[in-house]
Amino acid sequence: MKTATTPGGREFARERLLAAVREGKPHEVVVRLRMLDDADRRACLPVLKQLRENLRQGRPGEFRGQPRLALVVAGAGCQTGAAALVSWLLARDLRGFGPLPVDWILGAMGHRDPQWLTDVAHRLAGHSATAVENHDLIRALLDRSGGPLPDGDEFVRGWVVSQAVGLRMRPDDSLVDRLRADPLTRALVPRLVAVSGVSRELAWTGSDSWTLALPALAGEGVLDRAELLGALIGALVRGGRPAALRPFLEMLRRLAPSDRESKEHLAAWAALAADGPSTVAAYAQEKAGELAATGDLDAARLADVSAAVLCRNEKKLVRTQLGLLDRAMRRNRADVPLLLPVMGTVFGHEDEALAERAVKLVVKQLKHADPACREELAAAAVVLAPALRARLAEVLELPDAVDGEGAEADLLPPPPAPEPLGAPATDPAGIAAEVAALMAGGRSVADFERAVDALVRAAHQDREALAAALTPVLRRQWWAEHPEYVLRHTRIGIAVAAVTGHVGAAEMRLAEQNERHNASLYASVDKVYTARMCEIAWAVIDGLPLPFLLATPDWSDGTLEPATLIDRLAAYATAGRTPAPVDFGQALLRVRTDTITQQDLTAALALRTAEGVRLAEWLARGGLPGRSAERRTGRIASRGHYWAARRDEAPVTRFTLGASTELRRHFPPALAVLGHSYDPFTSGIFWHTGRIEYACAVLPYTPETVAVWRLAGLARDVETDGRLSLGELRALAEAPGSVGPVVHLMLAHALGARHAEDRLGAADALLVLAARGVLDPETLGADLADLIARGTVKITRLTDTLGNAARTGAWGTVWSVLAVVLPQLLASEQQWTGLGGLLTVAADCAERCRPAAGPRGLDAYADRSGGSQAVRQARRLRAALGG
Amino acid sequence: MTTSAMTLAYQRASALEPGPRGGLLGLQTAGGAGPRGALGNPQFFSGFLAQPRPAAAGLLAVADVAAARYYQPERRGLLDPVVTGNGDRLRFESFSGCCGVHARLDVLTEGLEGRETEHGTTNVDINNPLREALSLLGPDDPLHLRVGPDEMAVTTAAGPVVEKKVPLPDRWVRGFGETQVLAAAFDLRAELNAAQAARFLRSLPTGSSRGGTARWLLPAPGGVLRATARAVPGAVCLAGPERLGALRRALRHATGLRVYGPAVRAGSDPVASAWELTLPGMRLTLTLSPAVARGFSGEGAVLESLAVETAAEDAELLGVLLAWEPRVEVAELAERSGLDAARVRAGLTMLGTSGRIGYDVAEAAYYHRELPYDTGRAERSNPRLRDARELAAAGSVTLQGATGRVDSGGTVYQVHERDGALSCTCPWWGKYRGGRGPCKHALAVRLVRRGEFAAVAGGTR
Repeated sequence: MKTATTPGGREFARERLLAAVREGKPHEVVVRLRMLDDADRRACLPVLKQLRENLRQGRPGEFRGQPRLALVVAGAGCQTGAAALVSWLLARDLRGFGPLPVDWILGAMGHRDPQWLTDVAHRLAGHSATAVENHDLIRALLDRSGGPLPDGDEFVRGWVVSQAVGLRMRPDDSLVDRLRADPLTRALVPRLVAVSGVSRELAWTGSDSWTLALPALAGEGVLDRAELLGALIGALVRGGRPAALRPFLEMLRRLAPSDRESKEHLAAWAALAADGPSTVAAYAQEKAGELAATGDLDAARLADVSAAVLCRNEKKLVRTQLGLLDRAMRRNRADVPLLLPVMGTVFGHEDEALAERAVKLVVKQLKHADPACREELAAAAVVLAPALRARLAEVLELPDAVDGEGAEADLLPPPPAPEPLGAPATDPAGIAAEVAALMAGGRSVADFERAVDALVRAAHQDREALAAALTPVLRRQWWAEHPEYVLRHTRIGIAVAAVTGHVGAAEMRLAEQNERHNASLYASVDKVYTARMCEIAWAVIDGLPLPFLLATPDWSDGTLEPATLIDRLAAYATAGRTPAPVDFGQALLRVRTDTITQQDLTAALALRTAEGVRLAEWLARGGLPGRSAERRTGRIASRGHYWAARRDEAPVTRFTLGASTELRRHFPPALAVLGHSYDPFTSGIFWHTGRIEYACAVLPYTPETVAVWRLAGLARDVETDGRLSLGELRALAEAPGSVGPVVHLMLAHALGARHAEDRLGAADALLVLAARGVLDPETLGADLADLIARGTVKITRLTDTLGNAARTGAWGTVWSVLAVVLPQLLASEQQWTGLGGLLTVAADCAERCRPAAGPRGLDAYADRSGGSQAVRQARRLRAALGG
Repeated sequence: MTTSAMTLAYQRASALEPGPRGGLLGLQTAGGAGPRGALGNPQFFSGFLAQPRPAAAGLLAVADVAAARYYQPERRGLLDPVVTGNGDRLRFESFSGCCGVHARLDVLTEGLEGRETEHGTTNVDINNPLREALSLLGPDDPLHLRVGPDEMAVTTAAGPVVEKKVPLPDRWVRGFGETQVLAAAFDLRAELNAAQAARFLRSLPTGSSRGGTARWLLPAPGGVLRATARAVPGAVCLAGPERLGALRRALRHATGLRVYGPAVRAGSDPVASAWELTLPGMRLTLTLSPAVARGFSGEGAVLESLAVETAAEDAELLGVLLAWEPRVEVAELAERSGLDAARVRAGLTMLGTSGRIGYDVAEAAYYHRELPYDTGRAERSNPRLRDARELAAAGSVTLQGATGRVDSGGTVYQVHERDGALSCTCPWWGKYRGGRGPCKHALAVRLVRRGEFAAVAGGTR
């Protein structure tokens, strides 16, 4: 079709074009455009822009069909600047989903010169968001213009994606055929490996995968084999995530470099074996090994590579490298002085077997070594385990180790020291900030007690000011408008709501009534805090706010000095106030009784109040009398949980708790409930508190009681591979009261927890108990042996925990536990999974702490035939004990 | 997230080429600033490296961090490293795309065989062929380093050949600057020898921790870092152990590892930490944020410096006096500026937030460098500061003695000052308790107290 020439004809042609746009007929737009020359097209542009604006505003009735597409095509024909054109094509408001229509757009730009088309193609390829989906258009533009390929990664990415489109639907088509036919393949494949973001396409498996296609094309000569090889190796050297490198490694394997090709990339194999991800390193190590065998890798370079590989933590790589070195040294004795010193790198390896292998190699080859080499090895021997060191000392004629023979003392962390609670805030705004932080959750007992103390004191002094400061804080709490929820959902909130007047006597009474019938053990410890807050609230509501609290501890672990309590009671007496019962009861439970003096007793009696007398008696009796905790093994009746049903068939060990007459008879109800007896086999209540740290602060001197409650839930979590709460063991281990069999059983469970973080917490608790000098290895060991036999604790998990604890220097502590655990395992006929690992830890410990006697049954076990790790480590342990 | 773009124009690509006496490592430069103002393609150094392979490994480690994104690792990082010439040393720095890891390689005077460097800061081009060549460096190859274009070589008349257009997210620039401010509070916590360092770094998991809980490491005798589940005094926080992976490359050349961190209390929340691998004549330091998902940009250290009223003016004065010193001596600077030491320190902190000063934990000293980015913009558009300004400008702040009341969206928050520390009743403060700098309410109160904005009439005293 010719372009219109007469003014009327031109006018008519322009109108037809715009009409086609309004009609939404892109194919017709292409036809109409052919009748317009450049000037006419330019003249249309303002109207097109106006139409675009109208379209954007969604004017009904003006458009039909596909107006957006028609506008895009019309714009493609009328825009004269390349940059303006590209922004028109890619405009968000004009673009639908999917690629631009190639034929129409090419048709609209039919008259443009090649340079301009190339420019447009390059600009399109530069937009990362759309270059991939519009790859076909870019290709078509380049085909027509014959211009150079764009430099950017996006173009290559688009090419890769477009190659795979629709392959699955056409069985007669294959990726190899497509690539073979595509003239760009040769140019783009070397660039392909440097582009990020195509690993998913390249990692495709199956008959149409890139990993099959590219090596095949290199074999046919379509691709330059040497170039492809270089590009792949270069990509591996540059590195990246293992998943992204996998296709390159796969292709490299398929290409199978010949000896000559491999030799050219010697430096790359060396670098990859040293720093590549383990799969790549293994391949590079294999290649380097082949070169070493043919003599292409000289001894100096081999020593250099080996030093790097032996530094890695993949056991397999280290083992293979040791074998490689062994062969190299046997091949050429003259290389020994160069190669042997690198063995020293392995001496410090975690895996004892590798270090042993290195020592064996040294012993074997030492006769070929020179003095410098011997010296280096002697220096490296410092990090060897004692037994291996002794072996090396013989041949190297090392001086006897000064400290190696004697037993090493345990390095334990310092025993926990409680911190003073710190001064409470006094300014209402400061208190409001502390309260807001507490309501946000996750704060410690010390933070809680400090904030409550500050709140009570401020409410006593100037309730108005405090209420004004607290009101905005409370307004954010959803329950502020629902006072009936106050008791159930908040802790400090009860006191805050009373201070601000959000709850009054009526609401409190209603809320307490709702709670009262729920007097079971469930959440019983949490309810102590609730009861204390209610006391504060009532005092405020009654207009007689407490001057301060009696139970606020002196120390962060929840303990209270007798002198402090006596002073506080004296101040109450002076002010003529009667202590609140739960507050006083809690104060008694927190007061320290192990350091009391006659003076304290006299001072308490001198108060001449009922509380003073009670305190004196309490102190004289030594606090809360102990209560019975009985270990029992049995089955817990299934409660119908499908996930617990199977576990419930197996017998489990728990403790039952006797009643405490003292608590039940002489304390207010909220505390008396803690005195009930508890039997986890029949009770079904596992939940006494949300945070064990808070429970320990209620009963700081009886961690065993708290542990009985918590054991029911924690043991179940371990039995079902659940998550534990990290802080709880530490809180129990650090509690000032004496720990006993219940805490030990809990620890035994936690040492075999499924999750590494939980085991870390268990190791912490073990070390804290040891540092405090209250760890009973006999009890813990017996519990562990029992749990292992029952399958609750897996040996591999226990090995990890104990190994971690031992490596920090607690060799003796860990050995003392293992010495109890091992006899039962060694005597058993059962094949224990992971026993070798546990024996390794035991041998490590024994070599350092030099115990007098070994576990029963070790000799018999070590004398068994076979070379399994367990038997080998048993022999090592025996040697350590004998030496 | 606001992002600006920056174009780096290098004369040619950096390359490692064979030369008459060993390899020639030509690192190309672009942009930045020196004592005489803005730079085009500055030349900082030319001379042999004392330890070629450790230097190459360190440089690659810095480049690795620049290209990394440890949080949501799909997207690649974006920028070339930055190099600073301090006269006696070269410092290569980079910052990960996720804003959580800062890496710095200090090539000290022994590493440069005593040769001097020019003064200034600029970008260096790192490209794929160069990375390959550095990885393939042989054990005994001598290496001549040239930072900057070769003045002898005939430059092409057409002008810059290698142009890199890089996006520059504001939070990235902010985080880069804030790292220095946090590091200034670090102390040495542990020192490991080469064998112990190798053993420790090898024991770390390599896979992504997916933002799992941070672990605490307590230095124990014998160069052991004992893992604990909870913070205890003296412990260092290691969040996302896989982020130390960049050290692995240089591990075999290491002579030791030093670990730095701020003082922590028992049960403390995660904090930042610095890990310094000592190499012969060099130091490679990684500074890690308190959590994989937490960039340095939100740590708010910049905002703390607003507490000192004169800091901004002092910073301006100090900025003029600095001349790319390798160690900024506070006493000397105090003398030259006529300010007391405390004000100099506060002013330096302020400079740190805009990337105009770095902090070297190994020497416990600031050094002068100027990040070659538009740091002012990033700082001005700091979201928390911007919100605080809006609050203050809208007249939402009422002062009552030590307490400030801020009306934000109909809710009144109370900002209280106790012993110089601000607390607020907003949920954000409740969550972090000042661990990530002041909240916008506290900032607004500060701004009003400093007189930048007027408080609401009536309550002001």
